[in-house]
Amino acid sequence: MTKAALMKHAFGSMARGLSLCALVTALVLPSDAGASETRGFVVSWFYPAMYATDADCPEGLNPKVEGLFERILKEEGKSPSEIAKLMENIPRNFDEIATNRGRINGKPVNVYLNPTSVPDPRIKIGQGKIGLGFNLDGKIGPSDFTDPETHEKGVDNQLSRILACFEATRGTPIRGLWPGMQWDAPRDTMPAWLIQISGIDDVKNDDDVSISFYRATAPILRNAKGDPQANMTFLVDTTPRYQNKVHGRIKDGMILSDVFEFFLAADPYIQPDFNFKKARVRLRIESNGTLNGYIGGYASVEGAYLGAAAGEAGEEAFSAVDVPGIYYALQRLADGDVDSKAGKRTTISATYRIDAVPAFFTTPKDKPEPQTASASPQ
Amino acid sequence: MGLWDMLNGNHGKRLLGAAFIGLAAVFLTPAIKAQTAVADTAQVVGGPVVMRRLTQHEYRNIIRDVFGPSIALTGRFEPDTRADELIAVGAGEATITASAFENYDRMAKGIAAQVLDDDHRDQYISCKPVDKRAADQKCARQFIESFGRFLFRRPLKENELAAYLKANADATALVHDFYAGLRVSLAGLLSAPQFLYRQEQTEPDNSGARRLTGYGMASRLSFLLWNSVPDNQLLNAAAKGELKDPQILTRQIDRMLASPRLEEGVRAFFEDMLAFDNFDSLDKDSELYPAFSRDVANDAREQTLRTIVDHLLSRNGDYRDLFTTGKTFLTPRLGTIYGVAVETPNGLVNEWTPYNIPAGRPQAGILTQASFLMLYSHPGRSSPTLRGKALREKILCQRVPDPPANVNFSLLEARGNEYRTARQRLDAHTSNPACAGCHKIMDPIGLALENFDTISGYRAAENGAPINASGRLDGINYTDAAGLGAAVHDNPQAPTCFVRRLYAYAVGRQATQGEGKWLDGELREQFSSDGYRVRGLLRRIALSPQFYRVTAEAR
Repeated sequence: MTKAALMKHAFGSMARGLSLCALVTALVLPSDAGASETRGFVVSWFYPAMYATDADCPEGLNPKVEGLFERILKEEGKSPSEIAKLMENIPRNFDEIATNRGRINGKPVNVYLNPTSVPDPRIKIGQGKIGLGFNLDGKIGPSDFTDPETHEKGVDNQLSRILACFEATRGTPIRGLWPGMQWDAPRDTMPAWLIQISGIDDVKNDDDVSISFYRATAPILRNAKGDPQANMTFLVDTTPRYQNKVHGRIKDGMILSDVFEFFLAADPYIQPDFNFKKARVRLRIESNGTLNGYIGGYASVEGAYLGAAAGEAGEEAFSAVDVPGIYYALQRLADGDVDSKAGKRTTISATYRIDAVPAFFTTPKDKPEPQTASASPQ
Repeated sequence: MGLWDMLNGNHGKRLLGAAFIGLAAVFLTPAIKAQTAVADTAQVVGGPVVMRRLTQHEYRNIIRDVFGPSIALTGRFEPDTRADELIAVGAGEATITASAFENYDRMAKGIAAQVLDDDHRDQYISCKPVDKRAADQKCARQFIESFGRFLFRRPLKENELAAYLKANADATALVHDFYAGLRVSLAGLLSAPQFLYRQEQTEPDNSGARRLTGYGMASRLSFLLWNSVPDNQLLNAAAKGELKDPQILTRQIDRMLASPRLEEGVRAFFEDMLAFDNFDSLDKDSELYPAFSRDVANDAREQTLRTIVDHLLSRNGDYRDLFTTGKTFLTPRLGTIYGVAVETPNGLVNEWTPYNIPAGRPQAGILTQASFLMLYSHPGRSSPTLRGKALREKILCQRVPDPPANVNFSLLEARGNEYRTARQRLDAHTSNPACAGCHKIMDPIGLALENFDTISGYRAAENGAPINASGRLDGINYTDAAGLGAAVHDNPQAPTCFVRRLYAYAVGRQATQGEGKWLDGELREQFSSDGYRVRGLLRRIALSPQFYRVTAEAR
């Protein structure tokens, strides 16, 4: 890209964001010299990647909140007339009864803090063969999917099986109600997530690019539609643990990463943090300048449970996602790291959808630029 | 001439509530007599005095300056009126209807209640009543005299003071609460025409003509330079008659020009000149332009005001450079509209930081800032016509006639016509000779700004067709918006217009014929020889005898 073209890009239509680092770098180059391009983005949506089909749940979906509450009331030993009375006002009655349905030594306890205080309700699990994600273990097993977009076989995404048969989590082609709400609710307070693709020489095919994930110091700015406003400038949080940088390549316009470990703090309402082991991403920069794609890896079982349980009864009533049922399913379907001491697996294969819009990054002037941060002050 | 004659005669049509009329009839007669006498004086360079209703900004500033920023205003203002491109001029024609008076009265009572509540009263009243349940004329007089002097911009006359003291005594006797009685008096001061209208009183000058009194001079100066009431020092100088002394007047003006409060005055003038009051009702189609928000609009308004204050006051820059300067201020939030990175120390969306527009960009000067581009556009699309009209009328003082009532848009709306750019649409529209005359003087200017959509986002093409931003302004050719800014910079009409507009703002009316000659001749020349420095122009106006001279000459 020539200097003139870059300037036009940077200060012209601005359909796409450009980091300050790339801009400054580009402007000092000879006008005809080729210059690598850097694109910055702020994450607008992040939620479990679901690919719902009619064949996913042959036994039907898990019950809606009415069915869930009725089952809980029966397990509580309520009489039919009591059940009928309590069912008349679920929003008012669900909270206390559902919260304290756990029993330890016969005494009621908070079920969200003590998910094993109730028997495994054996929630319905997805049985589909098509699913979004990556072949994380290099094997093709009976419980693996075939990705509908890449057609890759052996895709590991057990988390999607757990979520597949709840109406509030099924979301093809749009995000499910519950995960969408989970990401959206704290967006005005949670520091934004940032993605940077740097070293782009050819947006179609490039063997050597860098993909970085950062956390900003401030939340997104919403536009009039409630979506993150593009071209916002964010200050990068230079906390070393939040610097995720991985080598990647672009193949036919698809940005693919090497395997890396991903860690970013989120919000307790969603889950405190996301940690993917053996992670990889596939992303695409769309013609309108947005970035879309997926990150997959082995996610923390504990983190996934906290994500389901954090909203307690209010969220369980809203989504009808049976929280202890999720806990037991996570234990059963976890397919990642083994904690030999505890005798159980601590991670589960998962893939999350990423949508992002162009953004600019800067780093604080009073702090040294982190080694992995490619954004820099002007 | 009585009050009603004056209100319905020289100063437009005003409808007042009965209560207002009663108060006005008691207190205004001397001022009116003074103005009546002006009509008989000899013809000198100067102009008539205009009684101006306080603008919303002036009202707010006065309450803040007199009582402090903690006093909240509760109530609605009557909308400001714009005439001859300025609210400052429209204020001379603004009315107070019965319902508007109710709002002023409500606001006055709200202010009085806060000032005299248990938490605040000690900071405003230095004396204590002998008995809190009874009237204390001495203490009440001290309070009313002290605050009445600022609110009326002059000391209260004895008959005025007596009326407010009586109101205080009567109310106190009724409710057995000294402070409640004082609330009635303060609310009365704040509802009085002497407060709600800027009344500049006159006196004979040495030449047999008339001029503003010392208090009239102080008020005119402080509203021009600070957009608020005179401070204690200026009122003291007025009381001693010192403002008639050129040396002392110069010292006072230089003190005021050196005060940080000058920024308030300069902001107020440019807000009026650029019609920024229209931001209050500005809206865009959120489906088409979701990036637009009330916060973004406020930032856009503030960006231009910061640019102006920084350039004209902090840097003492050339007025004409406002149309070419690359130095401005941005927030990250506003940066999203321009599509540029805005680095701030704390990374907050609303954090202001200086920003230099890189050379070679099509943007330069305040005409390419979001405030102008947003304000003079339609909700769903840009408008070369509105932008061109605004530039002609607000920056060059060239009046564009209103469109005819029977404008025919059928050519544009007919099926099969594929006009992809605004230039193509306007070319088709102006094929009608009845439309062409006016559009020819507006559209070429506005088309230079077509690279910026209705919220000022940059675009190289419209509906897939490249945008041609070239044009010609009064003999100067340009190829883009930055070129238009340069053409305005070099247009001799721009500073001429500015001088006229600033003077009209200062006196609240269009210049008289005599003043016009002075403004277009001597003062315009001095503005030029001063390097088009606005602080210098303000000083020259404030020091000029014309500024205080009063005649009955019509426009």
